[in-house]
Amino acid sequence: MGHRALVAYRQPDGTFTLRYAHWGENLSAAIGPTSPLGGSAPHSGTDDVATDLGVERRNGYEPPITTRVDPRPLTVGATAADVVDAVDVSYESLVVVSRTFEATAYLVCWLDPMGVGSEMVLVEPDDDPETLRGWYVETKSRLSGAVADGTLTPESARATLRRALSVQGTLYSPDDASFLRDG
Amino acid sequence: MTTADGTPVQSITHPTPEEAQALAQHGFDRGAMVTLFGRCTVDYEGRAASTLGPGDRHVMLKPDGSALVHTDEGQQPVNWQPPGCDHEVAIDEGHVVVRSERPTPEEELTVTFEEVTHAASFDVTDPTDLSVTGTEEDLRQRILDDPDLVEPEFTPLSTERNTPAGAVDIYGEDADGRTVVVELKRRRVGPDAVGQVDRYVGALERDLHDDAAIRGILVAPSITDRARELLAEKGMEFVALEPTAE
Repeated sequence: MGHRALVAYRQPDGTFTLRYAHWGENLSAAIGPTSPLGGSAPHSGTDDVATDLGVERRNGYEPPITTRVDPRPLTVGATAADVVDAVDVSYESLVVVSRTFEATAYLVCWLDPMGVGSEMVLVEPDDDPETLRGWYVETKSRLSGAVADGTLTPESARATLRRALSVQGTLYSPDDASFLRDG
Repeated sequence: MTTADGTPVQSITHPTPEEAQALAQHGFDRGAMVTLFGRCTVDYEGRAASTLGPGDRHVMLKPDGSALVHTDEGQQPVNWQPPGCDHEVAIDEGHVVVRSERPTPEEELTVTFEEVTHAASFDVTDPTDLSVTGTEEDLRQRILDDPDLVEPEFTPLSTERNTPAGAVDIYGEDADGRTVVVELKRRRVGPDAVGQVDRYVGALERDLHDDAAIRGILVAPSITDRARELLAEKGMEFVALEPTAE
């Protein structure tokens, strides 16, 4: 639960352009008509850390991005189903941006009690997303502990977490992208 | 008075109505944020009409024209006006009266103070976006400014370095030259964060074909007991650190 966000921009033809934001915390509030890419990334003063420290650049080094959302598209022409399919273990939230640049954030919650990687749901929180994040961390930790000491099976832990999450917000399963088709 | 860091703040406890009015008017004139606390009634006229009877309330008038009336409960104001309103302060029959008017649609919020207990004006000049304070970015900056917060002689080499499993927050080396992956979280962490660090370490081990083990360090304000166990099982480490030093 944190900052890596998949950002889906709805296009006039109904498809989506997908982009990545590494520091995506509170990104939905920062996206708007005058800041479609979430505004400027705060200047770190150490954008080129390797150079500052006089050490050799490593394989994989890339120049800094100056907007919060990386302007380079990951995918263009994505369907609603493609958007949900693209939410893999590397993302912690999905931010969907309307054509008028209103953004809605969905938390990516993994139901596997031992970590991330198997069954996932997208959650649109009823109330404060931060409260939900905190609740999810504690609840998942308790369920994970119960699985580790044999009190719960992994299946019942997953079912319990899913049921408990559904009380805190609206759940969307990755096999049903219909919630992205309107608007 | 002015605060130690140079932020102009004016503040009067138990002001007379005239002092409260002068302070608020001066604040409005120079684009400061003004707050008044005291026993008051609140009247709203617009799409509907409402009145709040006498009570102790905190009224905040922002330079963008928004107005917020708070009690001592909840995060939501009991009454408010959006940005774009005009603020006025006057004295009417010995009472301080604050009006916040919105032309379209026509709306007016009037706060009539029986007594102003405290009045303050804050010249907020720092344009820092609230949404980027106390974030993972702040935590990143804190570590880049002082890498020893992770551990002595830690050297950050790059941020957001890509791996087949996604971008890692901070990629660096320890005192012995071993590769270190640092994952940052601004809040308490659980099993998910452990799973993340584990994936980055695994992906880098495959990517770099490095014989030496890659170290994974999770940095966050706190960690659940279960996540600490999972981290230990995987031979990774936790460092407790808040996003900001305060």
